Amino acid sequence: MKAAAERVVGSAEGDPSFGAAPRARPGPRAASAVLQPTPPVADVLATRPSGVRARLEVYLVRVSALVVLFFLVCAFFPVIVAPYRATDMLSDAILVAPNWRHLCGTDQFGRDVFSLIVYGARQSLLVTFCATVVASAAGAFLGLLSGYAGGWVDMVVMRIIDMWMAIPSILLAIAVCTALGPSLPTLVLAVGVALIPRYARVLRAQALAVRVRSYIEAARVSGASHAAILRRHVLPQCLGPILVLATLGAGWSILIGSGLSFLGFGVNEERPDWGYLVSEGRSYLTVAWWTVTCPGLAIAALVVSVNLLGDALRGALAPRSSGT
Amino acid sequence: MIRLRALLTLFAVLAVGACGKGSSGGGGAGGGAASVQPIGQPVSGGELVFGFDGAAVTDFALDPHKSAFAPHHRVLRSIFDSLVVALPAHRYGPWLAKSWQISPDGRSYTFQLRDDVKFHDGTKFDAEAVKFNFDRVKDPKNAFFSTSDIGPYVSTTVVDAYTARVEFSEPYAPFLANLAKSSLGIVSPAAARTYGDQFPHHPVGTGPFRFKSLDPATEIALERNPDYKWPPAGAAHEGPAWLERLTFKNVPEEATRVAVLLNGQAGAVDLIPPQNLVELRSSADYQLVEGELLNHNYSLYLNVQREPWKDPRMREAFRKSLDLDAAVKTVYLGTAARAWSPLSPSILGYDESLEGSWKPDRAGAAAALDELGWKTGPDGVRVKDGKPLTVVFVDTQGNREKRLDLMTVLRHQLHDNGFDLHTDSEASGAYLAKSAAGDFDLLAGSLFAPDPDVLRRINSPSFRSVGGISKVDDPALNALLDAGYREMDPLARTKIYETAQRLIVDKTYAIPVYVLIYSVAAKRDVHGVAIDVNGFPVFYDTWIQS
Amino acid sequence: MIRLVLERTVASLVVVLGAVTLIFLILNWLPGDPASLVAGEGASAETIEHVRIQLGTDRPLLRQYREYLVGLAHGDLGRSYVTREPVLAKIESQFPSTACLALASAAVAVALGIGMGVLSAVYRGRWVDQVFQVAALFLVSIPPFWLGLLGILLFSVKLRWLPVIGRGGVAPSVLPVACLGLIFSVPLLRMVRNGIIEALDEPYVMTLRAKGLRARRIVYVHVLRNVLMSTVTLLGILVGELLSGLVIVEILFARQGLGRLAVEAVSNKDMPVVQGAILLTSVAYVGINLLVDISYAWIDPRVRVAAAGRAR
Repeated sequence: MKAAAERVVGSAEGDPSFGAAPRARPGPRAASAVLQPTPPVADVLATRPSGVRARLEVYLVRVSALVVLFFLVCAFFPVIVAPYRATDMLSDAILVAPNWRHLCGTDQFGRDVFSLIVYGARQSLLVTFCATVVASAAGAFLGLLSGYAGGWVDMVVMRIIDMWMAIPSILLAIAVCTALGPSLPTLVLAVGVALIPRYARVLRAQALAVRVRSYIEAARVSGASHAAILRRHVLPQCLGPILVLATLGAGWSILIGSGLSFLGFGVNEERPDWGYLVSEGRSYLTVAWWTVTCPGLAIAALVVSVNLLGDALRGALAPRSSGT
Repeated sequence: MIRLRALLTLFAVLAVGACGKGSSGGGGAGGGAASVQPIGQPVSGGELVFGFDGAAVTDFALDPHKSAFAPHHRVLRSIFDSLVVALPAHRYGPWLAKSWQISPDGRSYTFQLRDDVKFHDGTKFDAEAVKFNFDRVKDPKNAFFSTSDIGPYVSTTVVDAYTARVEFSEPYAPFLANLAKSSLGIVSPAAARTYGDQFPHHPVGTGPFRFKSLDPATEIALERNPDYKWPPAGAAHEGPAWLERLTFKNVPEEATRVAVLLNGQAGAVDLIPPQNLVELRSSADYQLVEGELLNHNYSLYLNVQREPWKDPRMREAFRKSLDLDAAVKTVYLGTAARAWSPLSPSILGYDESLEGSWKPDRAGAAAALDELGWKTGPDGVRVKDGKPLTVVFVDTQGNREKRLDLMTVLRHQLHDNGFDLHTDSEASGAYLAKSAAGDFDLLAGSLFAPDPDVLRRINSPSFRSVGGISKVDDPALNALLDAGYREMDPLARTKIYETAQRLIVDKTYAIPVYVLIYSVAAKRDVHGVAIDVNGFPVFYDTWIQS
Repeated sequence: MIRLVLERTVASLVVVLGAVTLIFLILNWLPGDPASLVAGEGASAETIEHVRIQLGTDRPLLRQYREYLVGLAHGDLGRSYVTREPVLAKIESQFPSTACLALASAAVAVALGIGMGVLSAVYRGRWVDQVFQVAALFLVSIPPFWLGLLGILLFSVKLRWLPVIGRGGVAPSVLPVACLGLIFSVPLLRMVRNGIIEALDEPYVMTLRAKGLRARRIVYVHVLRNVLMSTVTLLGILVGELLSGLVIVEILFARQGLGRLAVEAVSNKDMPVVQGAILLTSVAYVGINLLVDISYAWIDPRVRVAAAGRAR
């Protein structure tokens, strides 16, 4: 049950296509390591839908893909999207409400908020991507090691992960920021460090699930080395969850970064990331709601789109990963 | 389904109800909409909830000698009295001291004290108490911040029960000005002895309000001192304060602080952000009280001990690249004034002629930079000998008073002339380490002070702190500042400090930016909230119209 | 069963100790000297050294660590570097507020999560489900302090239904609890929803239906019980997240609490306070997870059998 729960936490969508609603099988391990083969797929949005629903879903996925594509374009080629430069300060247009000239209004410096969002996409996406890579790599390493090796290695690694999780992630992130001074790499590290335990636990559960499958036994018996088994059988099985976690990681990273900005550990760059913008704008909520709402909507749009895409991805991948 | 919903509701109510305990938090003044009535006579009674920006500290150190933090002093002013009170135009009036004489050589001040003053714990205020206080401040074991306020203090002689003579090793002109601050407020010797280093959590003074309770980081509750009958000169009434309870609530979040006023939970709040000041000013339901904070203005300090800022021409080029008028206007929306001198306008010795004396001159700065060998690189940043013109600004205070926003605007301006300004936000420990080690290009800060001697505190190597913002060591300036505090004649002092300010500005040791106007917004039915000459709120005459 | 409890308890103690050690190491890695901070800006190098001796930071790390552990064994958490107050007293004063907030938020999250999850699952595919899904997605996509601010704006300033700040009574806690509770109900909602959907596809449900039980009864009595176990487990994992969320809420709503204390202490490198706070949070974390494990073993007889089997 715990393994399933761990997998769910990783994929907070709760999509059971990678194993859920477990049956406890009395196994040789500690009570928490209960495993079972995957049941029939039930995707997140509904059971296999009727025509109208199917079209709606496809529509949603398409929109999500477009949104993500748009943000990627903003990240790589902000110049073609943004009407102004992020640093342009129009001193006669301070805190102007959204209008045709400024789609999202202007902020307290007279900067066009829409342009800020466009230019900020790069930083936000970069931090997200890098933090996710860091967390996945480290988490996968720890989780797979722990899940596959089992025994005392498993116990030690899990205890370390527990210690890690016992310290509130934001305090860890603050400690890292304080130690290294606020900058982009620091932010990436801080967010990554906060996320690693989640990845580790989920991937451990996955590794445990795969390990007991019969084809692994067969491979061992036929003389394959552990490394080869890991590479050829375990790892591919884990790519699915990793991908799932990555899509969720987008949201987590941005929100943790935003929280750090709120607490004063944000990175004040020329092209601030969205979390910083939302945090900065919060004092103006009563007089200029657009300074908070527009970057906030950008965050929400990205996170929602990535999540929906992740669901679709999971749905597409599921049939391959189920079965013993 | 209904069952489930009921369960949910029950759950939620129970859960939230688990937090309900203790007294209600205390409402704002009066209640409901303020009706416009003619202001009548002050009425006694009621509670004022005052929301203030105490920053995100989790501990209130309510010891006037110990704390340098302005928000603390906004609370301390109501608990502790001073020997004298500051009056407009650099005069001083009687408070706990009825009268005083200064010896011609400026080395001893003799005070005749009131004989009817009692501390909140019932002990008597007398010359012994004054001696105890100054000795306490001076004691190096305590490492109090107020030590520098009493300068070359030697000792206090108890001439008789209510006469005290304070002796200095050299003439000390800033004494009266510093005495009027709450940093030299009078604490109860008995309480200080009893509580020792826990005194900050049991403050005992002589003020119109006495300390009742403290919720760490969120609230300080004071109650009326019923025996109070020694207000300072210039107060609107005598006798105990009108308010029965005065509660300070710490609300560091700007938006929350304004919300607390708008929804009636607080009768008054301070440090209203510029964007809300505009609407509050014109509102019929609220009134605004403003006063200049006597201050060493927020100023930028380039690290003169580090290249390339050793060269005054570089510093001048830096300053000329800034358009501070535009920056201050943009960030403060007209609610803060532009500073031309490190001293704020109402401080003795303020040099008016400095106003408008230095202007932005982008072209001139560019020419000077080119001449000094800084050529513009491909990305717009100037380069010399392979090194880019980066300016690392180290900060620890965050966006207090919109200071980081100011830096954002300045960075933009500086970039146009090839400077690359970076803000390095550090936690306080790391910040102190860096500032002490000189590991920065730019620091900035302010210090509330009523006397021009603050310039010495910032700029004089022998007097400033190891982690101070200025690394200047200019013999001419040092000589001026040393002479300044020893000069007892106000006119002569003024001349000295005018010269000093001019020097600081001419050599671009400091680049003053803005003058802080301390503001308090109160509901219409809260009368008598005042801001004293030093720029701190006074609630002695405050009363609530019912 | 007893053996399981003992085993888990020992493991928990190891984790707590490990967490405290981990934070000790991390903090010492941080730059900055707490002594100079405490001595204040006007201090000379001599004073700083004096303070350093007072605080004990001049001694070697290993010795500091050992002394801390010894103190811990006697229940002495040391004194704050900054205020010289005993850490235990400081934490005791801040703890109730935070605990109160945490418990209430958890309760709200559980109530909402289970309630909405059940509704969502039972009416899956219909508009109720869709609305909840969308709302859930939205809730985990926005910064928590934004939600809090919107709440303040709407309920406090515009409608004047609720106060913004304050300690006593229920009213000041409603907004912060609602904010956290809503956000943390989402993972639970998903877990419950999918657990129920899963379970409804199981063969034993079909058997129950064949026996003639109404759908509602099936859901409530049988399925929910199974799902509850996973939910509780999830809660154990979410505790750490909840503590992080508390930090932000405490600052936004100007409340005192361990979150603010810890953040400030880290900034000041006030080691004893940070260690004390981490001690507390790690104890809470392992404590809750321990309870989860125990209740889990107690509820599910198969697990007990497995544990017993191992004991032999």
